[in-house]
Amino acid sequence: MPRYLPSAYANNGALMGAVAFDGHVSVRDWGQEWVVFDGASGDCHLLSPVCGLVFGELLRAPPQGLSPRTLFALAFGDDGDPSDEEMATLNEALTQLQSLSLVRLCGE
Amino acid sequence: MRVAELPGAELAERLARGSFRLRTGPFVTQIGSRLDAVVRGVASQYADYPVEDENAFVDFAIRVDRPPGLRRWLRPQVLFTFDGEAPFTPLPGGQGFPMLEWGMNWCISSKCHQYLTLHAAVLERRGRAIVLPAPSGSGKSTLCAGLAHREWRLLSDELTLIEPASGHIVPVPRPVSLKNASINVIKEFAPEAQFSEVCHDTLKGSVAHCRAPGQAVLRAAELAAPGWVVLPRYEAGAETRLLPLPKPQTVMRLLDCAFNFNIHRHAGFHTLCRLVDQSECYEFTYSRLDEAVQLFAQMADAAPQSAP
Repeated sequence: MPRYLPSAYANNGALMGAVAFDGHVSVRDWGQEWVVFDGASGDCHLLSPVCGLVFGELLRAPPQGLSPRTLFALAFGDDGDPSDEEMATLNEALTQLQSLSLVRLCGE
Repeated sequence: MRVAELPGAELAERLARGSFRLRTGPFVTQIGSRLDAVVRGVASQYADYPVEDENAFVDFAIRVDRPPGLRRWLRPQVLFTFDGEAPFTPLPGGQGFPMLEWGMNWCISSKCHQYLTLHAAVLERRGRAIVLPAPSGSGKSTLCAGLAHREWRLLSDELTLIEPASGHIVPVPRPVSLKNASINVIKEFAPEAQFSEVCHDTLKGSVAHCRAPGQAVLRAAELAAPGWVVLPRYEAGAETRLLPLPKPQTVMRLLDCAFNFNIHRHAGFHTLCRLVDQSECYEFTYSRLDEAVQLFAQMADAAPQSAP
């Protein structure tokens, strides 16, 4: 079972301007959409609501990462078995986050 | 002392010597030029601005002159220099004053990283600033000049300077650069507006500068809190249309207009997010300037006044 982690952890903005946070991401969510600044690449990304929820959970993930199943439960507050369609949506979000280099597979 | 109080011959002499020091907002620029068009442009467009003492600290030392060599007689050109270096290729000889203006913009956008700098016009009314980020040709400067002549205080036509620590907007009021048909639009809309000579055949077409209203210059030390971010677009024949723009998308659009986000990085990100948090955000389409100005007046008057 694959497990996922964020590529970098969040800079909460409390020390903004004081030191460089080049290995971190800065995030801001307005409920629906998220905007993320990736200090490693210098890029900003606009995330869809699903990607934002998934990424938000991964930022709180333990060092061993989260499996898609756990991620689904945490991100969507649903302890039941996800349907194939729901898992496809989650995997699509993970693929998208990986393509933006915001998320990586554990061990990568 | 204001520029208008400096006798014409002394202004020309100081410019020729390169000892004329002009304050625009937080900056002091030492300007040198032997070109009559630059002397006339400075006298007409900067009449209300403070002249700094010849020993004052200088942020930028620039000159606009004919380049040396035979070419100055065959096909005259003008060359902008900053600290003796020429960052741009020369322009045709009649474009001395526009080159001075473009060069002064370049100094701020490429050297002043104490601010997060956006390519955006910005004005203030009742203590709240409206930021108008837009690419060239969007009608930003026309709208800006129109608002500046209808009770909005001009903070800048080109460069929105944001203090990262406070999120406040720092005024740097300077002449508004107008192009082609916009020149006559503003001449008709605001007959009191004072224009520079029109320069034809520039890279942007015909260009003229419209003097910043005196109040804007007098109040250039007063910072403003953000109130609105409006992305304007002129479209011939279009109805006046103001549509809300979601805040995350506004941040992404502002990033496209930031000159020095790569320097501010995380602090710049939080500065942009705060700007958007404190602002109502819209996309705006217009073709009739009077309607646009009226709409923004209503919007400003309906909003609570911000404390200075």
